[in-house]
Amino acid sequence: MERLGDLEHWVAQLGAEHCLAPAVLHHVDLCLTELVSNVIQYGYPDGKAGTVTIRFWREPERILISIEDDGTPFDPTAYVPTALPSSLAEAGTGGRGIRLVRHFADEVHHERSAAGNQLTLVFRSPRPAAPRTADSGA
Amino acid sequence: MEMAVHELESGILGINLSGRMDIAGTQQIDLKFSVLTSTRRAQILVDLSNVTFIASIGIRTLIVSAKAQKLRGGSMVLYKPSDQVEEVLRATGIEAIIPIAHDLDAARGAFGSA
Repeated sequence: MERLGDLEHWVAQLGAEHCLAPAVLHHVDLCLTELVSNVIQYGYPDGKAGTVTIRFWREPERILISIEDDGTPFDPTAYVPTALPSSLAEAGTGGRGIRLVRHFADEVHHERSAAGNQLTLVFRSPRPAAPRTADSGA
Repeated sequence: MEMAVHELESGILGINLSGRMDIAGTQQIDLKFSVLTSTRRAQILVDLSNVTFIASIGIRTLIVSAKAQKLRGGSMVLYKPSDQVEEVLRATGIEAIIPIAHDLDAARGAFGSA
């Protein structure tokens, strides 16, 4: 769990390198925090060491992030959101992480192979327009 | 994360949180926050204006304490979250179970109805 701090810095670096809007960056940060901590917390119940690999792609209109792990099968796309609580008494204390991922990622895809889980997150993020030069449009 | 506590007017207990309410940050304040918010009846104003990020574990901490406080007959109000933090809170429907206020008058009113 202590390596999750590295993830925060990686996301900040991505934002700077790829000119991602603060709102998109926040959604990426939140989804990665939820999913990677979920894998670490529940993916390796027998305490065995595992590997989580995170990749990033930039496309013109969107960014994609994949999270691969070799832990317990888990498909967040199978999650069916429950009704939101209407009172404090009926509110559960957990189970909000996947709801947040499904809310803030524009698409979530899951594949399970012999190697483990592969999740792909898609966030709409148009590439910023190039700045106009002094003679553009002349 | 950091936490500061002060008594506000009319017996309202103000708790100012600052930093990232992610796993590491929440673990830093969770025990102290739980003790402060759960062991005696109070009206608790949790100032989130300096919280830069909140994940589900941070929301869990707020809900556990709000539930404990409710059982004691007290209440909790979340105060001045940033747009980003409020967006996350609302995505989980928190505003329906723990009031969110952006000024003290609204907070006082929310304590009355919470």
